Amino acid sequence: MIKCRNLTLGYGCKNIVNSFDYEINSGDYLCIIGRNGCGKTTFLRGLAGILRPKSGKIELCDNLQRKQIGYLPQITIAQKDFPASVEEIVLSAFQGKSLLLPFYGRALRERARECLALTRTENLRKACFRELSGGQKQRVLLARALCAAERMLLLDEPVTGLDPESSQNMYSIIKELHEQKKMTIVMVTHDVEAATKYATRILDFNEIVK
Amino acid sequence: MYKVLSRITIIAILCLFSLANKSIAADSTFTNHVDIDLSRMSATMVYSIVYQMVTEPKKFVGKRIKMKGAFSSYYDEAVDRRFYGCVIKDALACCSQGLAFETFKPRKYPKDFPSEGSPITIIGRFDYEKEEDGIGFPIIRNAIFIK
Amino acid sequence: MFDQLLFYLDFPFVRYAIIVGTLISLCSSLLGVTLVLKRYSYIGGGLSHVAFGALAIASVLKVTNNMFIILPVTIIVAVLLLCGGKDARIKGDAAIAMVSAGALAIGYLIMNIFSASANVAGDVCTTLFGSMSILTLKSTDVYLCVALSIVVLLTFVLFYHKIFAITFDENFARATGVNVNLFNLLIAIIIAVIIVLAMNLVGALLVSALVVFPALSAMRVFKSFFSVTIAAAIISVVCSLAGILVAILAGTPVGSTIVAMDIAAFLICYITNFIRSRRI
Repeated sequence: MIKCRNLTLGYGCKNIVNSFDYEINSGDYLCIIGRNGCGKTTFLRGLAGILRPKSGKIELCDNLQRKQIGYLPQITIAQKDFPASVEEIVLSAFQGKSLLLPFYGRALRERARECLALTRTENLRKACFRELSGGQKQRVLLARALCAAERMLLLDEPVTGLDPESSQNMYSIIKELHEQKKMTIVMVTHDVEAATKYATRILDFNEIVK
Repeated sequence: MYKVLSRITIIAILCLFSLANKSIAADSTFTNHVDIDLSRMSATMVYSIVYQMVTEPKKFVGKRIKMKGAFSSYYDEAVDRRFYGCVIKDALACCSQGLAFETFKPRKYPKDFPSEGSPITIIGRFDYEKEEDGIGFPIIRNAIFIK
Repeated sequence: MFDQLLFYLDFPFVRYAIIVGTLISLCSSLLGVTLVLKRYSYIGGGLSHVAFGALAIASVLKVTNNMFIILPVTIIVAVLLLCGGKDARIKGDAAIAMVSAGALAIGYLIMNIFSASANVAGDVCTTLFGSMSILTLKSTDVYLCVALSIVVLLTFVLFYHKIFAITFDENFARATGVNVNLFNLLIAIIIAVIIVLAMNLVGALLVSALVVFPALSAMRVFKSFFSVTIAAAIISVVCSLAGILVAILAGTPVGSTIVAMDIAAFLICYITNFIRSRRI
């Protein structure tokens, strides 16, 4: 689905990922593990199209388009007390489709509702984002990623900072999306145990950097 | 009916009288009639209006103005003339502006004038004095001091 | 007192001040929400100091309309501060502090050395504290202010959802294909325009308050981005109107009276929220 050819990524004059070749296949549940600062998140940002490759290429194959890839970034401090309703946040996923309308149509609202249902947050639609628990926040952001995605999800440490129960909940939602919705999952995580349990492939960044 | 009619007549006479009164007052320099009474306005308004008078004096020429401020004077050696001014401060008291004035009756300085900085209230006709070089300044003519 | 007010309203410059004041406070509060949430609260202060420096240069050069120098300079600095943010060597808050203090010092120095008018202290004081400027606008300034505020308002309404998406999560917006750089540039330009306009209303030193207070007050009470935006706009307009009227009637400086109203609104919102959270 995605082919990386001789990929180099980095910020400023510092390279973090060097001449890296890799392929992600359709239907993969790929977990990327490795210690802090080894370039996992950078790689994911490259895949998401936020960071331009300094050299090399990221090819989208099998008719995969940018707008079919959903991205769940790590939550920022500023977002934690952001005054916004869950619905507003989830609907903002559609802004990539170059809408200039001051309101969203019924079809988009319906799609947002489906995505909320998939992440078991439908009842939170009118809730205020900053008053949700950590697990609920992550599930809402996952729903937003789903709205923007149809075939592939890029998840950046989706369970970091969650209690065991919320983590479990998150994993089972992701598993459902992988198995029932046939989505390709790429997840950056520190949870090696869960990675070995759920993933179909594991990419250890520690070894690449060596 | 009679009552109403008589009332209307009285009102009409009063109106006529006040109109006549106004036309006399406009010509007179002796009455206390004023077009713009700065002495009853807030500091913010006074400052803004004086600013308008200085920047766009043409709008105000001929108007009778009453203003309250601090007395100030200075002697300009270049034209051998003593100027008298009524100075106002803005609400922050960091900017001050003033209008120059000329007294109605000729007075001797400093004998017939208040001391520098003391509060004064004056009434006079706004005018715009053109100097030879084309740049003018606003001045209040025929000013009288009010206690 | 009401008679006095009607009497004052007879003067065209008072009516201009009210119209321009309303528009400026509306614009500044709308963008204020975005700035506060993007953690750029102090950019208002920084840019207004830059605008002050530009004003000093403009008054030395004796340009026909100061705006022609102030606006471009402020826009360029805003773009540099807001768009060069992430990869720049000097980080956000330090850059703002440096630029704002530097511009203020240079501006004052220039005004002092090449003093164009006799009353330097007065000029500096008015531009910094905005005691009068809104009441002494020339008619060309009034038209310029009205036109610019309408442009800002239309841009905000048209791009409201994009601005929300970028404010909430720049990375995600970029991943979904929103042209984040373009919109950040647009936001920076709009903010520069608003800051320059707001200087007329409250003066350079108090611009931050006009930008930040309504947003913070609304965020105490309301929970969705839309309601926060609307509430901030209403709070800001009401406070500015009340501030201008009180300043005219009571003879207090316009800028600080408006900011005092904003502080009062903030306290009311804070207490409302406190009582409500106690009850639950």
